[in-house]
Amino acid sequence: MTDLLTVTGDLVIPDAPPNPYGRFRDNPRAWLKSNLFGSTINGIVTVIFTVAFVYIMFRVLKYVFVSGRWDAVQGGLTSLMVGLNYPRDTSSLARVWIAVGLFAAVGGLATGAAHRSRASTWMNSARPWLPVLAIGALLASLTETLTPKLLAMAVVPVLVISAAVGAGLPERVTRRLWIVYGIGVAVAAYVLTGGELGAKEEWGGMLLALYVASFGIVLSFPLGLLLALGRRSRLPVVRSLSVIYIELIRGVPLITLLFAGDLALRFFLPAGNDPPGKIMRSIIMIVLFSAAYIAEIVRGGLQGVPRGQLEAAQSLALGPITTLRKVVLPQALRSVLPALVGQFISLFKDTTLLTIIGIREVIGVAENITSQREFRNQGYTPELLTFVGLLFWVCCYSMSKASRRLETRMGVGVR
Amino acid sequence: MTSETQESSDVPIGDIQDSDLPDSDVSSTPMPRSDLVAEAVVAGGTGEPKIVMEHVDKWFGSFQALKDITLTIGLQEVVVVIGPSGSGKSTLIRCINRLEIHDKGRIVVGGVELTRDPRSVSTVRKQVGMVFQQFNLFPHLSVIDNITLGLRNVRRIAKKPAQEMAMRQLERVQIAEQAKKFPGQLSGGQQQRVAIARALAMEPDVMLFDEPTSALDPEMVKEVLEAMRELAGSGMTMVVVTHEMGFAREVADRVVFMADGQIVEVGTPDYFFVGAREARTRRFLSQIL
Repeated sequence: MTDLLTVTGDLVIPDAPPNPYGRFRDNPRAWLKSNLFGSTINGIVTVIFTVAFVYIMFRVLKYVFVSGRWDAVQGGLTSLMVGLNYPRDTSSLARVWIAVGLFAAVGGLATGAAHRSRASTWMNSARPWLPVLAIGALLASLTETLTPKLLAMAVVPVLVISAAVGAGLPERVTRRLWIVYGIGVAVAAYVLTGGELGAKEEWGGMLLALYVASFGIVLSFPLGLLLALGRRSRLPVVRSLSVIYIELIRGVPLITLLFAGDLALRFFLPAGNDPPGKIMRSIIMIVLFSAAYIAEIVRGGLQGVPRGQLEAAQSLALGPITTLRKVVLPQALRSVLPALVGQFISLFKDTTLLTIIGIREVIGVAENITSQREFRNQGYTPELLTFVGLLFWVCCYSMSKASRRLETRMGVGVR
Repeated sequence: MTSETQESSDVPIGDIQDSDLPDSDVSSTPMPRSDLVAEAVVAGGTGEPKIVMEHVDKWFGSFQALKDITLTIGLQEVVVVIGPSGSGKSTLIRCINRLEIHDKGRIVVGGVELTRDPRSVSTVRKQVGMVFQQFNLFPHLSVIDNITLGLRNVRRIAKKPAQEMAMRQLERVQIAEQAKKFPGQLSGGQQQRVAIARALAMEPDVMLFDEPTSALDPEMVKEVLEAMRELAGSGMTMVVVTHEMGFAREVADRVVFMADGQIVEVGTPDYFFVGAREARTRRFLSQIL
């Protein structure tokens, strides 16, 4: 270590303290010995886990590439995506593809804009998209005809181009990009529904799950917010109504509410009014259910805002609404963002319960496929459920990734 | 406020008897007590009353935090309120902008009496700025956004002029270069100066300071006191709760000594620090000076 001496030789740079993680970088053998075989017990644990890991990986890979029979998934792919009864004519299917393209463009734009403002590597910015791309590639590989394969592949250039555009936009535009996102999502919704409000009863599969979940999230959040504020209200009537609502809903399983919405909602409507469609009824129930949980999450955030913040706002003569909007809610919601996203993820997964009241969403479609004549009694259920699980995992993982980014973004300057 | 009530029992101010103190001090203050009360009512500054408190009582549950407070503060007057913990100093100034609601008596600020009517509260709060012990800056907003929040939402000033006004106030407290930072990135002294700028930007007639230096490291106290001294020199009406006796002696027009929720004694700093008449006052001063 003579190079610690400087050229003049009169100054010795003190030896840096050894980095406990870096010291084995050049010596894999020492690393192995210290980390995996440090003692007899460590050695035994290492051997056992290595064997177990290799065995599990072998079984998984063998299942995926050799023994798994994916032809049922392949044959029912369209049904799994958009539902059994979705019209199969070109214009109806084109609607779905246009919506997919629009979402990809919006997502790419957002990624690009965020990348620009964070000055990280492109690899880092693209990371949340990797599982989505992987599943896209998987879906493209499973299609039986050429057109969807090409369309699925076309999503990649859409993503890349919109990300590049997003990264190139000037600051004053990126600050107003949410308008573009809103328009993009609205146009996608318009294209999908053909301008009618609400889901069409022929929808099913992943399309329905995503539709119900986005509706549920968008509607249950404001309702939950109002309930949380109501529970903290000084007016006894408002407060007790909020408490009763929250405790009542939280004490009942979602499935009960879904049945109630399916069977009992019509009794509460004035005579002559037709109840909304089955899908809308279940959306209403999911919203009512989720709002109660969101209310409690938000209430926790509201309680975490120090009293001094309110007093500072009051001493500036800010009105109660402005105080709430500009001082209390930004702080309260930031602190509960992880819990909120957790609730949204569980709402999304709860959409699978719709099968039980006879709506053919993804699980329902999967069940239907395995009961079709060509696949019946041949044990196709594991393959279909694996595929469905993978679809849900990708969506939930993306949501949690997006929330992590939002957290870092909102945490600017706060320690 | 619960902390104040607890601390009050730890400090047995009321137990000290006049006989505990040397006689000479008592005889050196010949003014009779009735004059003292009269003095407490008369305002300093320009003489025109800005804040009038008459027979104000305040209860927290069964604990009486303020007992029959009568005090008039004149326009452009600087009043420093001192006293032991739990004596009601903070409660007193928090009643002036109705962060606490008084239970009895009248409080009139700039000719407007504080009542249940939210308009009266809002009118008074627009005239009165406040600086807190814990700064209470909004942590999710940058320094400049902390200041423009009130300007834009209360005084309805457009974004550009609001930012210019904010920058002027930041320059006044010599912290303009930190405008883009967030409160969490500043030192305590810098945060407190931002808090002062935030209150000043609303162009109040009265500034309330609730122990503005008590949460600061010693080396940062000076920069905050400097800003307050500059403010006092500009003719602002100020009510300051503080333990900084040097500041009180130098800047105050009058000093108010409180104990057990009552105003014990009011006087000019010269009178106060040299010849305070009340035994409790002398006892308190001897403990901290």
